[in-house]
Amino acid sequence: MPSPVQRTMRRAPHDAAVVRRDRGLRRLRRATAIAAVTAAVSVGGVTALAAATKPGHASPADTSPAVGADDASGGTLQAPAAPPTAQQQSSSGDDGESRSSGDDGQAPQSSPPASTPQPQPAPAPPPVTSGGS
Amino acid sequence: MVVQERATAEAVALLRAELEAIDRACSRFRADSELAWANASAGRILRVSRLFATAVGVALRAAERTGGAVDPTVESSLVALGYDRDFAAVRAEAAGAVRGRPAAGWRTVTLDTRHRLLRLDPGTRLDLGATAKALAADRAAAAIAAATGSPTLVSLGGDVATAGPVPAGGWPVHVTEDHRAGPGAPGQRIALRGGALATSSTGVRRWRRGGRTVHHIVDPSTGEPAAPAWRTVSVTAASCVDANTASTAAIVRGADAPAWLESLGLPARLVDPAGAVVHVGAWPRDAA
Repeated sequence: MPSPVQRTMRRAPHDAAVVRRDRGLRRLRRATAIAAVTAAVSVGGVTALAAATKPGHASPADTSPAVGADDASGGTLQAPAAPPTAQQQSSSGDDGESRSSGDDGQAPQSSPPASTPQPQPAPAPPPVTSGGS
Repeated sequence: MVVQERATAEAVALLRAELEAIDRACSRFRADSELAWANASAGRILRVSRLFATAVGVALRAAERTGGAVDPTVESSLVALGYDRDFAAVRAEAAGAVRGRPAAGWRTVTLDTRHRLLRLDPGTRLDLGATAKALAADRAAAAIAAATGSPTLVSLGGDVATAGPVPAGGWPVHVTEDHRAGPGAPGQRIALRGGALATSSTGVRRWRRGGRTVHHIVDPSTGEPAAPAWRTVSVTAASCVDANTASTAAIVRGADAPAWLESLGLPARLVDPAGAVVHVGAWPRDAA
């Protein structure tokens, strides 16, 4: 009957194989776990990108001062706050320096006393042209 | 550009900076523009500048809001028609026949504006001509008014944007077919009371190929110049981008444009090829 020492010695090669196998399994588990985490992160990233983008669409973050109102437009083109009007004809032609007093259909007002300071009307801006380009 | 005299120098500097930035980002005819880079990189995900992302986002919104009538992927269509270089260099006439090439379609463009990521499907090429100039006008007017406090009007080739206080009597604008025309050209004088105004016309930017006349407003679905239902369309809107989007879409949509503009509440003036004028909504009537 072999002594305990002999049994241990005989089992040693087998135990070493088990240890190597266990280490290999641990490494495999770690590698699998890392791969799983990497895959999950990748899938999450792709999902996030897919959520943030849609073909033909922009995410709503882009704004510029002038087009910021688009975000509140409900997806339509926005009408101006005030529509254009026909250009009022001034008494001096198109230079717009002085408007005839009756042009809004109101009665002409009497002139104030000469001593009253007269606010100077801002000069009318020059006309610009809108046309195809 | 029109501002109070005291603000002129600052306004000019702001306008120049805006135009240079837009040109560098969006020009189809600059080899170093972001647009040229994006067109050469179709199929790849690109990280683009904030301004270029904004410009592409605006173009995609224009496409969405017009049902694709204004589409930023018409570059290939324009090139197929012979508009393959700066218009000043496009030959007025050439013998080679041209044939429309439908646009790739705006849904082939993917944009994540938050992260400024852009991807064009392979074969897709951008042209932001329908919206970038109007965007520049909007941005410049807003920046100038904010910096100077002055009533501000910016007109870029007929795309008019205003910002800041509105002058008494409004901004006088002569609406006509060609923005280079003088005040005596046939048209109408109106007063703009804020917002913006844009005019699109098939009467300008025309050239001949293979014995036929073509123009620059393309129907994205066919790649052909839009059918001549309207010669000129002027629209007012809250922003120049919206005004120009609507005026361009109206040319493409053709006969149903007045009803479409009416449904959006956009005042407009449309001129047909024979010169007959149709007014939409609150647009003032032409003097008799």
